[in-house]
Amino acid sequence: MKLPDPYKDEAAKSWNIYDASRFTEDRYFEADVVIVGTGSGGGTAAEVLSRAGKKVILVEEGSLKTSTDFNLNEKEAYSTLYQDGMTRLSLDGGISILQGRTVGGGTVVNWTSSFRTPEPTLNHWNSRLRIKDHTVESMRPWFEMLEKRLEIATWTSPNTNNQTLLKGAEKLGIRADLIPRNVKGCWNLGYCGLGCPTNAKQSMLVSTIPSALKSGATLIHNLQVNHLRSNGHSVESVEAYGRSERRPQVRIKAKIVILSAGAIGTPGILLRSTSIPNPYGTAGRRTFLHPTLFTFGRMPDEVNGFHGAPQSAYSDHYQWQDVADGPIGFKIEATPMHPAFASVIIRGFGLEHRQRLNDLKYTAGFLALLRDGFHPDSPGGRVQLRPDGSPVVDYPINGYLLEGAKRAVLKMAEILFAAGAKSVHVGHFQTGDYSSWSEAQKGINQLAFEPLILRVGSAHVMGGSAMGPDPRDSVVDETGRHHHIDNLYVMDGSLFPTSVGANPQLSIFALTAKLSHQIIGDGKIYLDLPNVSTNH
Amino acid sequence: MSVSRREFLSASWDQSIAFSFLGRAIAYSTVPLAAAQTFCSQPAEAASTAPSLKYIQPLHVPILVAFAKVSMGLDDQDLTEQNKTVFIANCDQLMGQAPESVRADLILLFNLLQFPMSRWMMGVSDNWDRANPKDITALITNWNYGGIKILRYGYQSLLSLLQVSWYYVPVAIAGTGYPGPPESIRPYLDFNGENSP
Repeated sequence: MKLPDPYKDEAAKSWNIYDASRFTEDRYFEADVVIVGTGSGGGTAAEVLSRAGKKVILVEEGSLKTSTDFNLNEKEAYSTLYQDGMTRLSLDGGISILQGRTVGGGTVVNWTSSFRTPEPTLNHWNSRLRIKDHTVESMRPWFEMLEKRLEIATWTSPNTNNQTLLKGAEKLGIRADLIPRNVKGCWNLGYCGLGCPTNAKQSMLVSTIPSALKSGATLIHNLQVNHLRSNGHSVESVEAYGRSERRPQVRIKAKIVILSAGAIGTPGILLRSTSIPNPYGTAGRRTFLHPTLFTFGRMPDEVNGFHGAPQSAYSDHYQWQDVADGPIGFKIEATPMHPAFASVIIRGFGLEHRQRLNDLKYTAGFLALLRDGFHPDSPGGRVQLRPDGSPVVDYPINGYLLEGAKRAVLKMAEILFAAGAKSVHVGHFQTGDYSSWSEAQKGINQLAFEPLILRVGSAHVMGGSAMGPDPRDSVVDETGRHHHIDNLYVMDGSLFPTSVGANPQLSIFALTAKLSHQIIGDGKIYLDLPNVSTNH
Repeated sequence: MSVSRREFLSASWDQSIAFSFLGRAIAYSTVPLAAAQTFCSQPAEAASTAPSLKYIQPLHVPILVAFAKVSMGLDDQDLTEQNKTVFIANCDQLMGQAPESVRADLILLFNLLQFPMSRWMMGVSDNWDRANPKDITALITNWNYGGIKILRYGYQSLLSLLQVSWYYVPVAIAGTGYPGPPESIRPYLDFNGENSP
């Protein structure tokens, strides 16, 4: 039995798709626009610019995997759809970083949470960081359009894991709510992180990229961009190679070059491109991760956190207090609980670890995203190059973050107990199984909150090629254009001057849709929207 | 004392010789892999005799098994020859997907641990396949809490490798009670059964 796969349809036979790992000789391409990266930024820009009549080439370092490839096997999904087989780390190993690497980028493997950029974030950018063009008011129509384009709506059938968060929060009088998700006809399977086999998730893979291909765009996958060649004023070519043993060289010339390789990949390309001016050393600086903590509750009944939409409830109760000057805020959400993923986020040693995994069906799992980048003591990390030229983020975990980490873990434990947990353990190597809230408070406060023994993850990489008015502390201006190179733009999460404070995909969709329309500049809307006026 | 990977080379030598030796070796692994292999004297990839494994040498296997048993509470019944083969192959595959520098760190760690002298200096007197679990537990405790973060990094990197590789093995998945994907989607999947016990 087969489900529809847009890439296997008859119409797809006319699409221009190349697998660079199969190139047997060096190749040369030309276009109006080359977009490096096919995730939330690149995918959105590709639809807009292709439908506006531009000849677009989309470049992706990962491979093209489509719904018929997604068999919901953790090993296969992590091996083929994630950066470094899901083993990506910060420089000192203190933070595990989940990033997609496939056509559609992170949108293929994220958990579908679709929040507008929070108003406190946009207001902070405006008042403290002098971002004048992207305000609450000016962004609103773009959020509305992208919500229509990607079928974003509040999910009303939370699974037991997410219900646990809602229940515990309600008992404690903590604000919590349901999450908007970008799905259409979702089967509620629970495997968003392993690729959606039904194409319900409106990732770039099934929405904007097919739209761009229908409009004549070319997709080249398994193509690694090494560097940009520039004359100091404009990019002359994109220099890349096919990801095969032979490494065929590929040169692409285009009037406009857009970097959408994500907030580690984009700064990496800029740093490898020695002919791109970087006079103030801003490329790669102020990279943010939403450092993420984990806490688990052993519930009296089955939770089965591996089934059902993985992330559909959240609490911002502790997120926006003292935005710029106070302790770090955090957003609480649920986490999926598939065995291999759970084995890493659930901590402990020997038989304790084994027992916790044996209890997987009964385990509720929460995470807390720390809102980094707003306070002077939260400067984020820095993307740098390894000797082999690959990018890595150096992200020291300082006392400001660790203080927030402890508060977040404690709050998650309290919510779990309020929801009825029989015991709680936290994402820390020394964690005990605490059987009451008072025991948990005592135990967690005695833990050494230090990197590596405290599990810190991240699924959101932002900044590193920040937008801003001043070249001394930003890489591009508010249109996304590089401060020193006329035909070079950045359109991905690396634009953000702080973390977003929420799962960032809708923030990237909306901002890059706005910026790519500004490139066209004719006042029309080129997103594939149902029943929308073409003038905006 | 807290010494990060960045600071290690300038750190004072007030820890045990064995730990410092290991830590320094790992710190050196930030140089390209070829140089790291020269330092270790046994080029890991070239010396591999198991054709199906690209990075893990036969002498590394007892080390991985010993650490897996202690760290994840496994026993010989879990690690039958068949399960062990799948587990080690998963480790090897995962190492192939890791960044080159992380892979080099792990290979260096394995190469150092396989030397009887360095194993003995770390407090593990018997060969890895006969090592006392208490010795390994003590070693892991020292690595995690001895104050040298590079050693903590070494163990935690190894642990993540072992955990993911083990919980990719069908028998391990079965132990968690995870039933695999819902029945409703199974007829539509190119389903090889690996993610179902």
